[in-house]
Amino acid sequence: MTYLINRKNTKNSQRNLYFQSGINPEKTKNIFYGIHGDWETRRVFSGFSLKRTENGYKNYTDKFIQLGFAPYLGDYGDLHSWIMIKSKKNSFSNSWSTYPLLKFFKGDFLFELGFNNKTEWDAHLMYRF
Amino acid sequence: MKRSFIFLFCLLIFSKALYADNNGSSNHYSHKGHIHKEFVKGEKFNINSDRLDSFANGLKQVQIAIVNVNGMVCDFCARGIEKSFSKDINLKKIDVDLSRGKVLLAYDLEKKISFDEIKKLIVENGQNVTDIKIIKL
Repeated sequence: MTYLINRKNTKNSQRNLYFQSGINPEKTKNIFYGIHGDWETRRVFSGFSLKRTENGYKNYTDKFIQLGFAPYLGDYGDLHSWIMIKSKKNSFSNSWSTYPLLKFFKGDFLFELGFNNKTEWDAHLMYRF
Repeated sequence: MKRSFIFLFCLLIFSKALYADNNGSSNHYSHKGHIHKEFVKGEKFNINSDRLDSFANGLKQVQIAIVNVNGMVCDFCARGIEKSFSKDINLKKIDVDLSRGKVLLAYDLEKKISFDEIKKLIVENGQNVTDIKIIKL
């Protein structure tokens, strides 16, 4: 479940704050909950997430922060590109893992690709139906 | 957990700073020489005449709704607007102007354009409508 806590739209920006949670219907001890937020203009993006997962024996927290900028402003329908940096940490690890990320979208497709030595490839593909 | 709260706090401060900075230059996407400054409800309603001409090219017996939208900062997010409006059989054409935050909608003349209906569809997609202007061709 993802619930929109707050949204602020202005002429040149949008800010969102979400609460997200889930439960395993077969093992109700397995739950997760957290918050996710972002703020963006056509030129700049910032986002973060904090998620706690509890399963009865190995509880952990995932968090990340993501910052980026668009090197050019495309028109509607153009290929849009973002250069980003993402830093994430799992409570099992002692340090933050920071790596560059490229994000592209055109039409209904969004593709995100990042790489670092610890987590290796970080790729997401999304299609808007 | 304490570190997490510190992390979130710093992030909110950062976002606020960027937000304030952005508000100071609300018209920086405008291009001189291509703007029509008309007034709706006492406020300037900047229309890109070249874009409007291009949009209206080939259209006859239609009415065009020019909708001012807040929060339309991303092409991928604006796709939902096109998909929602395209379900209306009276819609002849749609264009999204990301740089000025406008949606152009060409309808049949018979269509009774409802501000509330347009507002509802755009809010459902995550943006807000501030005002609307209708032109008949």
